[in-house]
Amino acid sequence: MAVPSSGELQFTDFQTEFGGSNPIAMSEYYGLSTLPASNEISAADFYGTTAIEAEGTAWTTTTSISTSRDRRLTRGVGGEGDHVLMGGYTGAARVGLTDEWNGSAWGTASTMPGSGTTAGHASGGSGGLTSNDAGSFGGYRYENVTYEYNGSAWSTTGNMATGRQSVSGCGESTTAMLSAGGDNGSKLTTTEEYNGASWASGGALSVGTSALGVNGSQTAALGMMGSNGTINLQTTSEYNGTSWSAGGSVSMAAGQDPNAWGNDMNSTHVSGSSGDKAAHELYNGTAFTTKTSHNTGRTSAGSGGGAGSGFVASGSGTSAITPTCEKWV
Amino acid sequence: MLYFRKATQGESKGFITHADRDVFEVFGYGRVWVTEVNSDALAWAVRNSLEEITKDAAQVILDQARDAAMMQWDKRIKEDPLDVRPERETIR
Repeated sequence: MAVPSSGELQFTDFQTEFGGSNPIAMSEYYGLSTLPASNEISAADFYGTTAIEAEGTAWTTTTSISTSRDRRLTRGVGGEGDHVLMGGYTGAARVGLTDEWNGSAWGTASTMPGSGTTAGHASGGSGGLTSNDAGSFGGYRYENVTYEYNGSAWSTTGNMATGRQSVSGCGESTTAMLSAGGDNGSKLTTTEEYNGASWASGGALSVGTSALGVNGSQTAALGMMGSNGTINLQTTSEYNGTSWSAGGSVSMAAGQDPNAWGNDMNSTHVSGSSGDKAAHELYNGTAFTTKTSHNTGRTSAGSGGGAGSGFVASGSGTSAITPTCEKWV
Repeated sequence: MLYFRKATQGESKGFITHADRDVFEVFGYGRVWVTEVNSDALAWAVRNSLEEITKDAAQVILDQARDAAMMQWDKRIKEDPLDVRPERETIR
Protein backbone atom coordinates (compact mmCIF):
# COMPACT_ATOMS: atom_id res chain seq x y z
CA MET A 1 0.00 0.00 0.00
CA ALA A 2 1.36 3.41 -0.91
CA VAL A 3 2.25 6.17 1.52
CA PRO A 4 -0.80 8.48 1.83
CA SER A 5 -0.95 11.02 -0.99
CA SER A 6 -2.02 13.96 1.17
CA GLY A 7 -2.33 15.11 4.73
CA GLU A 8 0.01 14.78 7.66
CA LEU A 9 2.67 12.06 7.37
CA GLN A 10 4.50 10.30 10.16
CA PHE A 11 7.82 8.49 10.10
CA THR A 12 5.93 5.26 10.66
CA ASP A 13 4.19 5.81 7.29
CA PHE A 14 7.62 5.68 5.60
CA GLN A 15 8.71 2.65 7.61
CA THR A 16 5.49 0.77 6.93
CA GLU A 17 5.99 1.16 3.21
CA PHE A 18 9.77 1.02 2.81
CA GLY A 19 11.05 -0.57 6.00
CA GLY A 20 13.92 0.83 8.03
CA SER A 21 14.80 1.08 11.68
CA ASN A 22 14.90 3.65 14.46
CA PRO A 23 16.35 6.15 14.78
CA ILE A 24 15.09 6.98 11.30
CA ALA A 25 17.45 8.63 8.79
CA MET A 26 16.13 10.08 5.55
CA SER A 27 19.23 8.83 3.77
CA GLU A 28 17.85 5.30 4.20
CA TYR A 29 15.31 6.13 1.54
CA TYR A 30 17.55 7.67 -1.14
CA GLY A 31 16.56 6.48 -4.60
CA LEU A 32 13.64 4.34 -3.53
CA SER A 33 10.52 4.65 -5.68
CA THR A 34 10.45 8.28 -6.91
CA LEU A 35 12.44 9.69 -3.98
CA PRO A 36 15.58 11.78 -4.63
CA ALA A 37 18.83 9.80 -4.83
CA SER A 38 20.76 12.32 -2.73
CA ASN A 39 20.57 15.60 -0.89
CA GLU A 40 17.48 16.68 0.95
CA ILE A 41 14.30 14.61 1.06
CA SER A 42 11.18 16.36 2.27
CA ALA A 43 8.18 14.66 3.77
CA ALA A 44 6.14 15.79 0.76
CA ASP A 45 8.41 13.73 -1.50
CA PHE A 46 6.89 10.64 0.10
CA TYR A 47 3.31 11.49 -0.88
CA GLY A 48 1.85 8.56 -2.81
CA THR A 49 5.15 6.67 -3.09
CA THR A 50 5.15 2.89 -3.18
CA ALA A 51 7.92 0.42 -2.50
CA ILE A 52 8.83 -1.34 -5.73
CA GLU A 53 8.92 -5.08 -5.28
CA ALA A 54 11.54 -7.25 -6.91
CA GLU A 55 10.00 -9.24 -9.75
CA GLY A 56 9.15 -12.83 -8.86
CA THR A 57 10.86 -15.71 -10.60
CA ALA A 58 8.82 -18.83 -9.86
CA TRP A 59 5.43 -20.15 -8.88
CA THR A 60 4.96 -21.71 -5.44
CA THR A 61 1.87 -23.80 -4.79
CA THR A 62 0.25 -22.78 -1.49
CA THR A 63 -2.46 -24.24 0.68
CA SER A 64 -5.81 -24.58 -1.03
CA ILE A 65 -8.94 -22.55 -0.43
CA SER A 66 -11.79 -24.31 1.34
CA THR A 67 -14.24 -24.27 -1.56
CA SER A 68 -12.79 -24.40 -5.05
CA ARG A 69 -14.44 -22.15 -7.59
CA ASP A 70 -13.95 -20.20 -10.77
CA ARG A 71 -15.72 -17.47 -12.70
CA ARG A 72 -12.87 -15.25 -11.57
CA LEU A 73 -14.03 -15.16 -7.97
CA THR A 74 -14.92 -11.58 -8.93
CA ARG A 75 -11.16 -11.09 -9.16
CA GLY A 76 -9.25 -11.19 -5.91
CA VAL A 77 -7.22 -8.21 -4.85
CA GLY A 78 -4.41 -7.53 -2.43
CA GLY A 79 -0.70 -7.40 -1.74
CA GLU A 80 1.51 -9.84 0.16
CA GLY A 81 -0.36 -11.24 3.13
CA ASP A 82 -3.35 -9.18 2.19
CA HIS A 83 -5.32 -11.09 -0.43
CA VAL A 84 -9.06 -11.54 -0.55
CA LEU A 85 -11.17 -13.71 -2.86
CA MET A 86 -14.81 -12.85 -3.45
CA GLY A 87 -17.68 -14.94 -4.75
CA GLY A 88 -17.32 -17.40 -7.62
CA TYR A 89 -18.87 -20.49 -9.15
CA THR A 90 -18.32 -23.93 -7.63
CA GLY A 91 -19.43 -25.87 -10.68
CA ALA A 92 -22.87 -26.28 -9.14
CA ALA A 93 -23.71 -22.95 -7.58
CA ARG A 94 -22.78 -19.32 -7.50
CA VAL A 95 -21.57 -18.47 -4.04
CA GLY A 96 -20.90 -15.41 -1.94
CA LEU A 97 -17.92 -16.91 -0.14
CA THR A 98 -15.06 -14.67 0.92
CA ASP A 99 -11.54 -16.02 1.59
CA GLU A 100 -8.62 -14.09 3.05
CA TRP A 101 -4.90 -14.95 2.90
CA ASN A 102 -3.01 -14.22 6.11
CA GLY A 103 0.45 -14.75 4.69
CA SER A 104 0.55 -18.49 5.21
CA ALA A 105 -2.96 -19.87 4.84
CA TRP A 106 -6.43 -19.11 3.54
CA GLY A 107 -9.31 -18.55 5.93
CA THR A 108 -12.97 -17.85 5.37
CA ALA A 109 -14.52 -14.48 6.14
CA SER A 110 -18.00 -13.01 6.11
CA THR A 111 -20.24 -13.87 3.16
CA MET A 112 -21.14 -11.37 0.47
CA PRO A 113 -24.66 -9.93 0.36
CA GLY A 114 -27.24 -11.24 -2.10
CA SER A 115 -30.42 -13.23 -1.90
CA GLY A 116 -32.99 -15.05 -3.98
CA THR A 117 -32.08 -15.62 -7.58
CA THR A 118 -29.00 -13.46 -7.24
CA ALA A 119 -27.65 -15.47 -4.30
CA GLY A 120 -23.94 -15.72 -4.59
CA HIS A 121 -21.79 -13.81 -6.94
CA ALA A 122 -19.89 -14.82 -10.01
CA SER A 123 -18.61 -13.28 -13.18
CA GLY A 124 -18.35 -9.85 -11.60
CA GLY A 125 -15.42 -7.50 -11.52
CA SER A 126 -13.47 -6.11 -8.59
CA GLY A 127 -11.18 -3.34 -7.52
CA GLY A 128 -9.21 -2.21 -4.51
CA LEU A 129 -5.74 -3.05 -3.31
CA THR A 130 -6.14 -4.54 0.12
CA SER A 131 -8.39 -6.95 1.94
CA ASN A 132 -9.62 -4.00 3.99
CA ASP A 133 -10.68 -2.02 0.95
CA ALA A 134 -12.09 -4.25 -1.76
CA GLY A 135 -15.04 -3.90 -4.07
CA SER A 136 -17.08 -6.20 -6.28
CA PHE A 137 -19.56 -5.23 -8.96
CA GLY A 138 -21.89 -6.70 -11.56
CA GLY A 139 -22.21 -10.44 -12.00
CA TYR A 140 -24.48 -13.25 -13.12
CA ARG A 141 -26.97 -12.47 -14.59
CA TYR A 142 -26.93 -8.86 -15.74
CA GLU A 143 -26.40 -7.68 -12.15
CA ASN A 144 -25.73 -3.98 -11.51
CA VAL A 145 -24.93 -4.30 -7.80
CA THR A 146 -21.81 -3.00 -6.10
CA TYR A 147 -20.48 -4.39 -2.85
CA GLU A 148 -17.65 -3.08 -0.69
CA TYR A 149 -15.63 -5.10 1.83
CA ASN A 150 -13.81 -3.38 4.70
CA GLY A 151 -11.94 -6.38 6.06
CA SER A 152 -14.72 -7.63 8.25
CA ALA A 153 -18.10 -6.83 6.69
CA TRP A 154 -19.74 -6.23 3.35
CA SER A 155 -21.94 -3.28 2.43
CA THR A 156 -24.07 -2.56 -0.64
CA THR A 157 -23.39 0.73 -2.39
CA GLY A 158 -24.29 2.54 -5.63
CA ASN A 159 -25.39 0.45 -8.62
CA MET A 160 -23.70 0.45 -12.00
CA ALA A 161 -25.86 2.11 -14.64
CA THR A 162 -25.66 -0.95 -16.88
CA GLY A 163 -26.03 -4.34 -15.22
CA ARG A 164 -23.79 -7.04 -16.73
CA GLN A 165 -22.01 -10.30 -16.22
CA SER A 166 -18.52 -11.30 -17.30
CA VAL A 167 -17.50 -7.75 -16.45
CA SER A 168 -13.91 -6.98 -15.54
CA GLY A 169 -12.41 -4.37 -13.33
CA CYS A 170 -9.57 -2.92 -11.36
CA GLY A 171 -8.77 0.05 -9.18
CA GLU A 172 -6.44 1.25 -6.47
CA SER A 173 -9.16 1.66 -3.88
CA THR A 174 -12.92 1.49 -3.53
CA THR A 175 -13.01 5.20 -4.21
CA ALA A 176 -11.54 4.72 -7.68
CA MET A 177 -12.67 1.51 -9.34
CA LEU A 178 -13.02 0.87 -13.06
CA SER A 179 -15.39 -1.57 -14.76
CA ALA A 180 -14.82 -2.54 -18.39
CA GLY A 181 -16.90 -4.43 -20.91
CA GLY A 182 -19.14 -7.32 -19.99
CA ASP A 183 -22.26 -8.95 -21.30
CA ASN A 184 -25.93 -8.03 -20.89
CA GLY A 185 -27.05 -10.25 -23.73
CA SER A 186 -24.74 -8.32 -26.02
CA LYS A 187 -21.02 -7.78 -25.64
CA LEU A 188 -20.59 -4.29 -24.22
CA THR A 189 -18.15 -1.47 -24.90
CA THR A 190 -19.36 0.08 -21.65
CA THR A 191 -16.83 1.42 -19.16
CA GLU A 192 -17.95 2.88 -15.86
CA GLU A 193 -15.95 4.68 -13.17
CA TYR A 194 -16.75 4.47 -9.45
CA ASN A 195 -15.88 7.21 -6.97
CA GLY A 196 -16.86 5.46 -3.75
CA ALA A 197 -20.53 6.31 -4.06
CA SER A 198 -21.68 6.24 -7.67
CA TRP A 199 -20.74 5.02 -11.15
CA ALA A 200 -20.30 7.38 -14.13
CA SER A 201 -19.62 6.66 -17.80
CA GLY A 202 -16.03 6.26 -18.91
CA GLY A 203 -14.63 6.00 -22.42
CA ALA A 204 -15.99 3.15 -24.55
CA LEU A 205 -13.95 0.11 -25.55
CA SER A 206 -13.44 -0.02 -29.30
CA VAL A 207 -15.03 -3.47 -29.46
CA GLY A 208 -17.77 -4.92 -27.26
CA THR A 209 -15.91 -7.44 -25.11
CA SER A 210 -16.68 -9.67 -22.17
CA ALA A 211 -14.40 -11.62 -19.85
CA LEU A 212 -11.33 -9.46 -20.28
CA GLY A 213 -8.46 -9.42 -17.86
CA VAL A 214 -8.02 -5.90 -16.47
CA ASN A 215 -5.26 -4.45 -14.29
CA GLY A 216 -4.23 -0.98 -13.21
CA SER A 217 -6.06 2.08 -12.02
CA GLN A 218 -8.97 4.25 -13.10
CA THR A 219 -6.59 6.44 -15.08
CA ALA A 220 -4.07 3.89 -16.34
CA ALA A 221 -5.47 0.42 -16.99
CA LEU A 222 -4.78 -2.46 -19.33
CA GLY A 223 -7.60 -4.61 -20.72
CA MET A 224 -6.56 -7.93 -22.21
CA MET A 225 -8.12 -10.58 -24.42
CA GLY A 226 -11.73 -11.70 -23.79
CA SER A 227 -14.58 -12.50 -26.17
CA ASN A 228 -16.32 -10.29 -28.71
CA GLY A 229 -19.16 -12.79 -29.00
CA THR A 230 -17.83 -14.35 -32.18
CA ILE A 231 -14.20 -15.11 -31.43
CA ASN A 232 -11.82 -15.00 -28.51
CA LEU A 233 -9.36 -12.12 -28.62
CA GLN A 234 -5.59 -11.81 -28.35
CA THR A 235 -5.58 -8.02 -28.41
CA THR A 236 -5.14 -5.59 -25.52
CA SER A 237 -6.23 -2.00 -24.87
CA GLU A 238 -4.89 0.75 -22.64
CA TYR A 239 -7.19 3.19 -20.79
CA ASN A 240 -5.96 6.66 -19.84
CA GLY A 241 -8.96 7.80 -17.84
CA THR A 242 -10.74 9.12 -20.91
CA SER A 243 -10.36 6.72 -23.82
CA TRP A 244 -9.06 3.30 -24.81
CA SER A 245 -6.29 2.75 -27.36
CA ALA A 246 -4.49 -0.33 -28.64
CA GLY A 247 -1.90 -1.95 -26.37
CA GLY A 248 0.66 -4.62 -27.13
CA SER A 249 -0.46 -8.08 -28.22
CA VAL A 250 0.04 -11.10 -26.03
CA SER A 251 1.84 -14.15 -27.36
CA MET A 252 -0.40 -16.69 -25.68
CA ALA A 253 -3.36 -18.13 -27.55
CA ALA A 254 -6.51 -16.04 -27.73
CA GLY A 255 -8.84 -16.70 -24.83
CA GLN A 256 -11.24 -15.45 -22.20
CA ASP A 257 -10.98 -14.81 -18.49
CA PRO A 258 -7.22 -14.43 -18.18
CA ASN A 259 -5.84 -13.97 -14.67
CA ALA A 260 -4.48 -10.44 -14.34
CA TRP A 261 -2.56 -8.69 -11.60
CA GLY A 262 0.42 -6.41 -10.96
CA ASN A 263 1.50 -3.22 -9.25
CA ASP A 264 0.21 -1.03 -12.05
CA MET A 265 -0.65 -1.05 -15.75
CA ASN A 266 2.99 -1.02 -16.81
CA SER A 267 3.82 -4.08 -14.75
CA THR A 268 0.81 -6.21 -15.53
CA HIS A 269 1.00 -9.98 -15.34
CA VAL A 270 -1.42 -12.05 -17.38
CA SER A 271 -1.61 -15.80 -16.94
CA GLY A 272 -3.89 -18.63 -17.86
CA SER A 273 -6.72 -17.81 -20.23
CA SER A 274 -9.24 -20.24 -21.65
CA GLY A 275 -6.93 -20.53 -24.68
CA ASP A 276 -3.83 -21.54 -22.71
CA LYS A 277 -4.28 -22.18 -19.01
CA ALA A 278 -0.59 -22.39 -18.14
CA ALA A 279 0.86 -19.45 -20.09
CA HIS A 280 2.20 -16.41 -18.23
CA GLU A 281 3.38 -13.06 -19.61
CA LEU A 282 4.43 -9.67 -18.23
CA TYR A 283 3.59 -6.27 -19.81
CA ASN A 284 5.99 -3.34 -19.40
CA GLY A 285 3.82 -0.68 -20.97
CA THR A 286 4.95 -1.51 -24.48
CA ALA A 287 5.30 -5.24 -24.98
CA PHE A 288 4.74 -8.60 -23.33
CA THR A 289 7.52 -11.01 -22.38
CA THR A 290 7.01 -14.67 -21.56
CA LYS A 291 7.43 -15.68 -17.93
CA THR A 292 7.45 -19.01 -16.11
CA SER A 293 4.26 -20.99 -16.69
CA HIS A 294 1.87 -21.98 -13.90
CA ASN A 295 2.59 -25.19 -11.99
CA THR A 296 -1.04 -26.10 -12.64
CA GLY A 297 -2.78 -24.42 -15.54
CA ARG A 298 -5.88 -22.44 -14.59
CA THR A 299 -8.12 -19.68 -15.85
CA SER A 300 -11.03 -17.69 -14.38
CA ALA A 301 -9.12 -17.66 -11.10
CA GLY A 302 -8.89 -15.04 -8.40
CA SER A 303 -5.73 -13.02 -8.91
CA GLY A 304 -4.01 -10.05 -7.37
CA GLY A 305 -0.86 -8.81 -5.71
CA GLY A 306 2.32 -7.25 -7.03
CA ALA A 307 5.47 -8.08 -8.94
CA GLY A 308 6.91 -10.33 -6.25
CA SER A 309 3.75 -11.19 -4.36
CA GLY A 310 1.25 -12.17 -7.03
CA PHE A 311 -1.31 -14.84 -6.40
CA VAL A 312 -3.59 -16.83 -8.64
CA ALA A 313 -6.12 -18.80 -6.62
CA SER A 314 -8.40 -21.68 -7.54
CA GLY A 315 -9.96 -21.34 -11.00
CA SER A 316 -10.69 -23.69 -13.88
CA GLY A 317 -7.92 -26.21 -14.26
CA THR A 318 -7.34 -28.50 -17.20
CA SER A 319 -10.23 -30.80 -16.39
CA ALA A 320 -11.94 -29.40 -13.29
CA ILE A 321 -12.10 -26.46 -10.94
CA THR A 322 -9.04 -26.64 -8.72
CA PRO A 323 -8.80 -25.61 -5.05
CA THR A 324 -5.04 -25.06 -5.26
CA CYS A 325 -3.43 -21.65 -5.31
CA GLU A 326 -0.10 -20.41 -6.60
CA LYS A 327 2.04 -17.48 -5.54
CA TRP A 328 4.50 -15.67 -7.80
CA VAL A 329 7.59 -15.01 -5.68
CA MET B 1 -40.22 5.89 -14.85
CA LEU B 2 -39.03 7.58 -18.06
CA TYR B 3 -37.93 5.53 -21.08
CA PHE B 4 -35.46 6.65 -23.71
CA ARG B 5 -33.93 5.29 -26.90
CA LYS B 6 -30.32 6.00 -27.77
CA ALA B 7 -29.60 6.12 -31.50
CA THR B 8 -26.47 4.02 -31.16
CA GLN B 9 -25.31 1.50 -28.58
CA GLY B 10 -22.25 2.39 -26.51
CA GLU B 11 -21.52 5.28 -24.20
CA SER B 12 -18.62 7.68 -24.11
CA LYS B 13 -17.05 9.55 -21.21
CA GLY B 14 -19.50 12.06 -19.78
CA PHE B 15 -22.62 10.26 -21.01
CA ILE B 16 -23.54 9.76 -17.35
CA THR B 17 -21.61 11.76 -14.76
CA HIS B 18 -21.30 11.33 -11.01
CA ALA B 19 -23.34 14.54 -10.69
CA ASP B 20 -26.09 12.88 -12.73
CA ARG B 21 -26.03 9.85 -10.44
CA ASP B 22 -26.42 12.14 -7.44
CA VAL B 23 -29.77 13.45 -8.68
CA PHE B 24 -31.52 10.61 -10.51
CA GLU B 25 -31.50 6.83 -10.88
CA VAL B 26 -30.64 5.46 -14.30
CA PHE B 27 -30.62 1.93 -15.69
CA GLY B 28 -29.05 0.94 -18.99
CA TYR B 29 -30.25 -1.87 -21.25
CA GLY B 30 -28.08 -1.26 -24.29
CA ARG B 31 -29.86 1.28 -26.48
CA VAL B 32 -32.72 1.61 -23.97
CA TRP B 33 -32.28 3.80 -20.90
CA VAL B 34 -34.67 4.07 -17.98
CA THR B 35 -34.68 6.84 -15.41
CA GLU B 36 -36.79 8.00 -12.56
CA VAL B 37 -39.09 10.89 -13.31
CA ASN B 38 -37.50 14.23 -12.58
CA SER B 39 -36.27 17.32 -14.36
CA ASP B 40 -32.61 16.33 -14.00
CA ALA B 41 -33.26 13.08 -15.86
CA LEU B 42 -35.04 14.98 -18.63
CA ALA B 43 -32.14 17.41 -18.88
CA TRP B 44 -29.72 14.49 -19.08
CA ALA B 45 -31.75 12.97 -21.93
CA VAL B 46 -31.72 16.26 -23.83
CA ARG B 47 -27.97 16.63 -23.28
CA ASN B 48 -27.39 13.19 -24.80
CA SER B 49 -29.96 13.53 -27.59
CA LEU B 50 -32.07 10.64 -26.34
CA GLU B 51 -35.55 10.08 -27.70
CA GLU B 52 -38.30 9.56 -25.14
CA ILE B 53 -40.40 6.48 -25.86
CA THR B 54 -43.10 4.47 -24.12
CA LYS B 55 -42.36 1.57 -21.81
CA ASP B 56 -43.89 -0.83 -24.36
CA ALA B 57 -41.67 0.53 -27.11
CA ALA B 58 -38.65 0.22 -24.84
CA GLN B 59 -39.52 -3.42 -24.09
CA VAL B 60 -39.80 -4.16 -27.82
CA ILE B 61 -36.35 -2.72 -28.51
CA LEU B 62 -34.85 -4.73 -25.65
CA ASP B 63 -36.62 -7.92 -26.78
CA GLN B 64 -35.34 -7.48 -30.32
CA ALA B 65 -31.79 -7.02 -29.07
CA ARG B 66 -31.99 -10.08 -26.82
CA ASP B 67 -33.60 -12.22 -29.52
CA ALA B 68 -30.78 -11.31 -31.88
CA ALA B 69 -28.24 -12.14 -29.18
CA MET B 70 -29.90 -15.52 -28.57
CA MET B 71 -29.84 -16.32 -32.29
CA GLN B 72 -26.16 -15.40 -32.48
CA TRP B 73 -25.42 -17.48 -29.40
CA ASP B 74 -27.25 -20.50 -30.86
CA LYS B 75 -25.20 -20.32 -34.06
CA ARG B 76 -21.72 -20.16 -32.68
CA ILE B 77 -19.49 -22.84 -31.22
CA LYS B 78 -19.42 -22.66 -27.42
CA GLU B 79 -15.80 -22.72 -26.35
CA ASP B 80 -16.65 -22.00 -22.76
CA PRO B 81 -18.94 -24.57 -21.08
CA LEU B 82 -20.13 -21.97 -18.61
CA ASP B 83 -21.05 -19.51 -21.33
CA VAL B 84 -24.78 -19.01 -20.82
CA ARG B 85 -27.46 -18.29 -23.40
CA PRO B 86 -28.74 -14.71 -23.33
CA GLU B 87 -32.30 -14.35 -22.16
CA ARG B 88 -35.14 -11.86 -22.34
CA GLU B 89 -35.50 -9.44 -19.47
CA THR B 90 -38.52 -7.45 -18.33
CA ILE B 91 -37.69 -3.79 -18.32
CA ARG B 92 -38.21 -2.06 -15.00
